[in-house]
Parts: sequence; structure tokens; C-alpha cells
Amino acid sequence: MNSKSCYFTENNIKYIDHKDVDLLKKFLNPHARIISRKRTGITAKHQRNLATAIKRARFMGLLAFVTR
Amino acid sequence: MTTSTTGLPRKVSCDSVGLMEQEKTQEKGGALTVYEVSYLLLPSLAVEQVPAEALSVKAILTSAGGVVLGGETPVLIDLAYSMTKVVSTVRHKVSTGYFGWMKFEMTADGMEVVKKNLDADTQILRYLIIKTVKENTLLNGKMKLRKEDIKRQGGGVDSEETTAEEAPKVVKEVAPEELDKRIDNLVIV
Repeated sequence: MNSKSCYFTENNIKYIDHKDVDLLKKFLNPHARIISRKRTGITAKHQRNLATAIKRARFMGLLAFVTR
Repeated sequence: MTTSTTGLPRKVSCDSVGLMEQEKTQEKGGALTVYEVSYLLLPSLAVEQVPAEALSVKAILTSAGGVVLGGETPVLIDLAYSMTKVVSTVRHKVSTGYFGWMKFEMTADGMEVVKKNLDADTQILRYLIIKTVKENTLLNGKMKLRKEDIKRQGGGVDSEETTAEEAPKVVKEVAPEELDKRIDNLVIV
């Protein structure tokens, strides 16, 4: 991920859906932890929405809480 | 707060009072909100029973005054971790489940009834209700199924097409002259 550009702003994604598992997986590290804003380069607003979507996906069993 | 900036008492007309009351009632639950319910059904359900269960979820929403806007029928998925559900002293531990979702419009008052009914449904492993927007929020328009599910549902045509497209590329890349050169380079090194 380029640290200076926001993925969601570039692709004009306004709403981050918890069912978009492939998209959410891009922002998880091998341990299934959420990658920090410092590394993703996402705007603060999008990072908040992303974190919520990931947590919802985890609850529904679409994403793991921890791996390895 | 009724005094204006000039110091004179502000007149409040009857119309504005009526409007304020209307706003209050809307806040209490009169206004429609778009919600989305995602649910996981127990894998012990037979495949034939799944659409019927999805219809029962729809019935729960419509009976509480909701209007269903869209959704997807449940599909069997592998869960990222195992979950448990206790149904009348029987403990179900599952690692797969039928995942489905529905978007609907409803007042806030109806949500309590919906939650109670979904809790009472023994076939629902887990559910999640969120506030959302009417517009399509999925990037591809539909949920991407996992590879195993695509194979199970007989989506072999797509996979064949992709392999057919990829095959000529491989042939182009491996030209015999280039290969010889590469091998020579490797031998020298």
C-alpha cells in the first residue's frame, strides 16, 4: 500500500461493506490484525469505517479474530 | 431563550409549534430508516429448507412493518472460526453456516419486535442488524463466494474460461530462443 494515497478516496468508495471480505482482507496483517493508518495511508474517516466493517465481519464469522 | 437579539420577546406562531411536534414524532420512531440484517443459519438445515428459512426471516421483517429492499439468499460458507449455539440444552458447535442478508426499511419502533423474533428463531446461529443506505454498498454488486462454494454450485464454466485465457500467455512467454538464452545465462553464473 502506498502510504500517501487513500485507497477508498482513489476508488471513490463511500461506504465500506462488512460483506466485502476480499477488500477488507487487504487491510489485515498475517495475524488478522488491522493494519495501522500509518501504514495504510487511509484518511481518518475511512480508517474508522474500515475498522467497524472489519469488526462486523469478524462477528459474522467472515473474518478471523486471530490467526497463527 | 424566547427573547430575540433585539431584546423583544419572539413570537412563536401556531404553525411552527405544529412543525416542531411533527419533528418530535418523527424522532420517536415515525421516520423510516434503512437497515440491513445479516444472518447465519445452522448448517444442519437441509439445502431444500434454506429458502424457506430465508422467507421466514423476510416474514419477520414484513410482519413488523418493514419493507424489504433487497438481499441475497443464504449460501453455505466456511466460518473463520467455530461458533456455538445452545438450543434447548443441545449445544451445536459449527464451523460452517448459511450466510444471507437483507436490506429493509422500517421505523425504529418495529426493531424491538424484529430482534425478539430473530432471537426466538432456533435455526438462526447469529444475526447482525446495522443501519445502512438504500444504494448498493457492495463493490461487485454481489457477495463473492469462496472458491469451494463456487465449485459446489457448478460454476465450472468461469474457471474453464480463465484457464483458457491464461494458457496462450504462458505459451507466448516461453519462446525456445529465449529459453536457451536464459539457460545459458544460468550456466555461466
